[in-house]
Amino acid sequence: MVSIAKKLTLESITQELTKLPSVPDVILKLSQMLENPDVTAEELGQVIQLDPQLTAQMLRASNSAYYALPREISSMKEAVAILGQKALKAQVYAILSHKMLNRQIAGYGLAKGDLWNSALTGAVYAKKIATLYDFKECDTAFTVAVLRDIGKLILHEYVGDVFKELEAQALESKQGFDEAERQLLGFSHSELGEVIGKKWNFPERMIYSIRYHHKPSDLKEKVSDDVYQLLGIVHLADALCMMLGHGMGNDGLLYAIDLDYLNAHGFNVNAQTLQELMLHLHACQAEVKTLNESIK
Amino acid sequence: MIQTQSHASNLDLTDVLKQISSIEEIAIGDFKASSLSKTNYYVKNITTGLCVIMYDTHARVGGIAYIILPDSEFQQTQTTGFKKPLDDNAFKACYADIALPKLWEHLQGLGANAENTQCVLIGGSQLFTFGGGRGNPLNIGARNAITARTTLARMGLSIKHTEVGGNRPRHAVFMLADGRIYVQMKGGETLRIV
Repeated sequence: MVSIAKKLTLESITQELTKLPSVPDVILKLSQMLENPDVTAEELGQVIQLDPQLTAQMLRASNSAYYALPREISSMKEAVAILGQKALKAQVYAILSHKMLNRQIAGYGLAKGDLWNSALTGAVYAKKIATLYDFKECDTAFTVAVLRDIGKLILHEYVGDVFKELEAQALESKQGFDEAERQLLGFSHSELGEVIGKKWNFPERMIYSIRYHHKPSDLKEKVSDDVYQLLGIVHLADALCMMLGHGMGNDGLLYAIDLDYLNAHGFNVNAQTLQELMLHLHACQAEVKTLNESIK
Repeated sequence: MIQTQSHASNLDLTDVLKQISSIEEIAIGDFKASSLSKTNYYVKNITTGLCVIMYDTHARVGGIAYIILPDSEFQQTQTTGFKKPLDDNAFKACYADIALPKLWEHLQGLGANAENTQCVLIGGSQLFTFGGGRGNPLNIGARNAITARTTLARMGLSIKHTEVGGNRPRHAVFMLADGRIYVQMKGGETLRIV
């Protein structure tokens, strides 16, 4: 028997958004402050210390082997001064991602921890890919990648009932599982992620990465070269995360890699680059583990 | 090459895992071998990588290599210009052409004999591709399986069963006590393939 897909509408999405776990005010405030390049270390430190749990997490992460600092950091003001605003922003979004994604996402067959593992691994991979391609903002690559699948938080309740139809559609069209979601459910998890990102006032480049991380060539707006490159980095990191088997759901490998986009934006992806990237990223597993332990 | 029929297990993989008192998880790019009958191996989320299981049914020794890439040759012709050079030695277990002979060497050391050894291949899935005017670089999964077959043939080892291809990840459990192997395609039924 063929299941009938329960389609999402703008009205039902508004209701779904109210079910999302709440984001701590301090994190929302910080994410906005960190968009301002003129904010001072003192101002950031004052806001962070309003949340003792967040302060402890950020200090632990700052002192972890991931950053390999020569001496211990004892205050958030010091962390901002030494690590810099962009690294701190990456930390804030990683902690937010952990709060939101470290849960069971049943519709995609993801046990507790799987989606978070995929989010963090993809973010570390994005940073590494940015380094390898000499992209100047490596921490920004991490930041925009770490919440790329946040739309699954809503869509998983709809995906489970019609998984077989979604899979059949993805296999037949070869357009990817997210396109099948859009066709059968009305919205893909990438589109829902964009709605969540806008609701929480995420930075624009992060919203682009959430919305287009599966098919960057769908981005038709004219954006800056940095945004095009960041999107390519996140797309590549996401694909390689799947190829190396991290945090896989039932949707598995039912996605595509957008070679036209990547090669139009200077990534020169061929068998050789892909194989080398896989090995470079495989070598990042210790970093992923260290960062994961410091954020938990 | 003899191919066995797989059949649906009465048990789900989660039930299989619950019944096992000790289990070692094999990470991608690693290999392990043992002669202890209490050894059980678990491999999670095998995608484009390939899990190769070798088991001597008489000596009851076995092991798993979880490879990432088919052959090490491309490292000799590194042309991408990525700044940090790859450390050759750190990645030896990642390639089929190096990891499989290494695993076999360990098993021989534990008493394995080629005549009694059966191999099983699991994984080698694929992502789709948009575009690809320069050729599809994503056939790594299929190439892993091809290289594993030719490498095993060269080593004189026979393949008993393969569960390869498709677009979904697989999990596998290998029990050394009797050589039993369970495979589950994520979200699908659990098969007992050996």
